[in-house]
Amino acid sequence: MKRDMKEIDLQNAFWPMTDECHDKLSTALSGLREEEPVKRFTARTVLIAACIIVALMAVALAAGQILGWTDFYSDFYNTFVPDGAKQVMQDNGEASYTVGPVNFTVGGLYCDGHIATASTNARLAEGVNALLTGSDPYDAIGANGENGEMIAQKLGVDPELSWVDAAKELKIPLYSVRAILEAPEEYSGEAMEDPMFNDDGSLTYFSMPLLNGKFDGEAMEFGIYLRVQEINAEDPEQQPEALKEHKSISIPLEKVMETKEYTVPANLTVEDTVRLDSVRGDLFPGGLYLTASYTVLKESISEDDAVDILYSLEYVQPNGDSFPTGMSLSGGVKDFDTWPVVETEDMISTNEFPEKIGLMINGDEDSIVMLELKK
Amino acid sequence: MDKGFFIAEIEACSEMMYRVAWSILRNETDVQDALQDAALKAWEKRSKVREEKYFRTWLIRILINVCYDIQRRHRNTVPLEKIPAQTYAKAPDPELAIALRAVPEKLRLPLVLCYCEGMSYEEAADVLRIPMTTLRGRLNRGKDALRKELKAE
Repeated sequence: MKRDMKEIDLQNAFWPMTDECHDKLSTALSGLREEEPVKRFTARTVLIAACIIVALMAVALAAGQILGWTDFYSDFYNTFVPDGAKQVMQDNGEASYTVGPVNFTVGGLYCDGHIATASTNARLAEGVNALLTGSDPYDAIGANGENGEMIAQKLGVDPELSWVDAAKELKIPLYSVRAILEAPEEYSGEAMEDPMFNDDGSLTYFSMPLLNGKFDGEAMEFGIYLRVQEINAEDPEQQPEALKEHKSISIPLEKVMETKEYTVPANLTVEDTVRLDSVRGDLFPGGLYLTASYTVLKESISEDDAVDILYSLEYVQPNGDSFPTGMSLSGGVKDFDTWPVVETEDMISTNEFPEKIGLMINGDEDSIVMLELKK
Repeated sequence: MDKGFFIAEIEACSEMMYRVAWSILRNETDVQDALQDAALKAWEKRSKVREEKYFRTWLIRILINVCYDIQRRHRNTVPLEKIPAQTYAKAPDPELAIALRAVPEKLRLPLVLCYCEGMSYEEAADVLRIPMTTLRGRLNRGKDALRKELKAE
């Protein structure tokens, strides 16, 4: 049947929103609070597939161990914190604060201008018998993967129970905490935050703001936002006021240790659309940032299409294996300001420059192009 | 932006959000997650809205990004599922629903934003972060593709 476009009302191609969807949206809206905005990664800039399976990964936790960045990266992302960054975190020390019934110890501090990190141990004060969570109190305890299941087992409750229901079952109060490292507005981008639970009932709150690389001072002044809220398990609409503290913390800026270039074959083009012009490595204690410069050759191509092509490229080891994911857990196009020249930035976890880096196109091992470190 | 205004705006845009999310995603669960996530993200980033009159396009941009995130996640984990035929039957014009879904997403979204949601070309180009000329091209190709699909049925 031939139909004229003028007769077509595209709204008729859709059905009304389901009640279930409406209810879910209303629930989300009813939970909004007038407070500090939560920052999360936007996956548009996150290329690492591993990011999305965090909750499914196993977490091996030795008795009495307080989890830190090394555990976070190894257990969730199968990667490691380079030795240089470990040393920096140790050298940068810790700071302790108390907010209501919770003691916070802020450590794991690192800043290289591209990322900053803090891991904060949150622990109930001596004599306080309560549950402590850093997740959404209405989420199932088991939603944090094996780490959550371990805690549920310790508490003797079903991992399917929410934190709120577990508190009801155990007849003890529930406190929800957050500990966020806040970068100065002019240098900050997206951010990641995630809790992990320790087997002693405390938790470690991981916070990593991504930075724009423009700061070049000696130390960056960050805010630490600490929040403690007792959750009214009986009536979600009647929540007591949260206790909030803003503290300041200065983190020394780690400077680039060495910069080297990789050789790029002449006229290396991808899909006849983008040409790779250069690849530069900047080695920091936290790993290697690889900045590649591409020229978009087709005038008609859109930014989105260029991004699609650039996202199909991956740095790999000469044997085709992936490099260990960098601490930033992200990568991609930096910006389009210099179009048609486009720069990408990716990070790999390493203590030194790899002699050879492969550039794999569309996950095809036969397409790997070798880039060698310039002497 | 106060909470009252924000909630009222989201509620006013909710049907549009639902349609846009369905234009990208393939199942009700993902669409529900996308709407919820987009609303929460918008609340977190509310200070970034230049002016309240831009709220709608800004919100849809966030929603589209959230949908792409969900789509990308599925691409990395499980095969994309097909939309069951009975889903289309819920639309007032199931034939049109099926034809629209058969139009490539790159062309479908501009059609939905401009001809279903009534956005101006400028607004849709802004939401999709593409130049106006690209938008016009996609709209023309989209209309052709939709006509072909309708003829084929």
